[in-house]
Amino acid sequence: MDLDTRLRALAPVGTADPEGLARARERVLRGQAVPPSVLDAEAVQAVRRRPRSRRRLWATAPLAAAAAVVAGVLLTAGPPQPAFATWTATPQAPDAGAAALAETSCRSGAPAGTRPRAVLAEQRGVVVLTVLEDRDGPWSTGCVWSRHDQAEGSIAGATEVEPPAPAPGGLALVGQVSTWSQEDGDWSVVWGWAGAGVERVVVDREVGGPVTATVTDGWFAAWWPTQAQAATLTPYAADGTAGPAVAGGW
Amino acid sequence: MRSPDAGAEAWFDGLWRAHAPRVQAYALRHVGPRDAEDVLAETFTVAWRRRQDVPADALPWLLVVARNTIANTRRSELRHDERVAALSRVAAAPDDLEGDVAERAVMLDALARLPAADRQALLLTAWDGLAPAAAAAVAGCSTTAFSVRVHRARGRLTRLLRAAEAAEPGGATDRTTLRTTRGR
Repeated sequence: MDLDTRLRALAPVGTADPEGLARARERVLRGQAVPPSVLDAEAVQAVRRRPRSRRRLWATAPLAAAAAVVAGVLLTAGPPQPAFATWTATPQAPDAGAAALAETSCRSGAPAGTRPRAVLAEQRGVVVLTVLEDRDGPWSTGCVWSRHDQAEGSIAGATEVEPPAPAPGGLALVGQVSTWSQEDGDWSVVWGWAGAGVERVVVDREVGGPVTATVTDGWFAAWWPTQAQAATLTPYAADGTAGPAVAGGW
Repeated sequence: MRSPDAGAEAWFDGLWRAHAPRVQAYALRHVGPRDAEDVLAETFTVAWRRRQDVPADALPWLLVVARNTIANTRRSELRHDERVAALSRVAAAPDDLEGDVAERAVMLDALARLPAADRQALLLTAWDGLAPAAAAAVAGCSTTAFSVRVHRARGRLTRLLRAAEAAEPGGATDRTTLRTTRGR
């Protein structure tokens, strides 16, 4: 029997978990019982607030507390601006408190067995990007974090790719993700290694203007609030000399 | 299936009946049953909320939402035995013949040993029945990249299966390294 036949012979048939299917349907129907305009604002949150596993509640409790504090601030600060709307093409140094919360959130998603350490953090508007690497292996992750009144504080892409180390003045692209967040919409992130002498990295996207990445201790990273892929990533030395560009995209 | 304009609730009912079991099976491959229930409810809540955006060929769209929902909830990766259990929950049940039971166990164990991207590439086509372009959209890569991934995954799976077969009684490989942990 060939491989395809063997695989297809195991294709799911029927419903794997009828009770789980029925419970999920009931939850969705409860959301449909209110007008769509209300559903948009509340139904998804109602689904999200359902108690989940103990492990996940432990992981997100500090973020829920932080969100409550921020909610108090927002009550006096007027309507909140969507987090991704505050994005800027040039990064800024992260607020220490926000960076700490972002790192905690990012660490909560690290696979078992890894020993993550933060290698880079940057802020664009109110959103913090954190890059973690495993001390012992090729795993790394880029987490885009903003404060939300919901359990999970950050969204992330992870990779186990470990490219060759970059030459002096060059780059090695380690991870790139384009995806979508229910709260904030589309986003993309790139991260990687910057060779010796690289002071600045500019990401040219397939759609949209250039994005200045953050460069720290041999790492670079940037994110933007669209699914436009990175076309090229160009390193620059302190004197403005451009190094060899690296192609992005898939 | 009726369009959203012909009656949103009837449209949604058709959408659910046509695709919910497959979205659930997709979720169960990646997370445990409780979380799969969350993913399923959230995916169809998004579909209801964004019903004007759901295409006629809805399954790839729903699987992209499910994929993003799984990614956004930041769960830790499953261990090998948990991956085998997850696959076993959704794979077609074995016949009573002993040979089919063993074949199923060996195949699920080998699938669980593949890198996640390789496993996803094979199952989106073989189990979910998606065409390469739709499967690539769910995987979040180009069709060309997806084809490369499938080719690579086939090679790896074939090598794993050969190693497992060599580990059968009389084979050369240490059987304990390839033994399947059955579903919980």
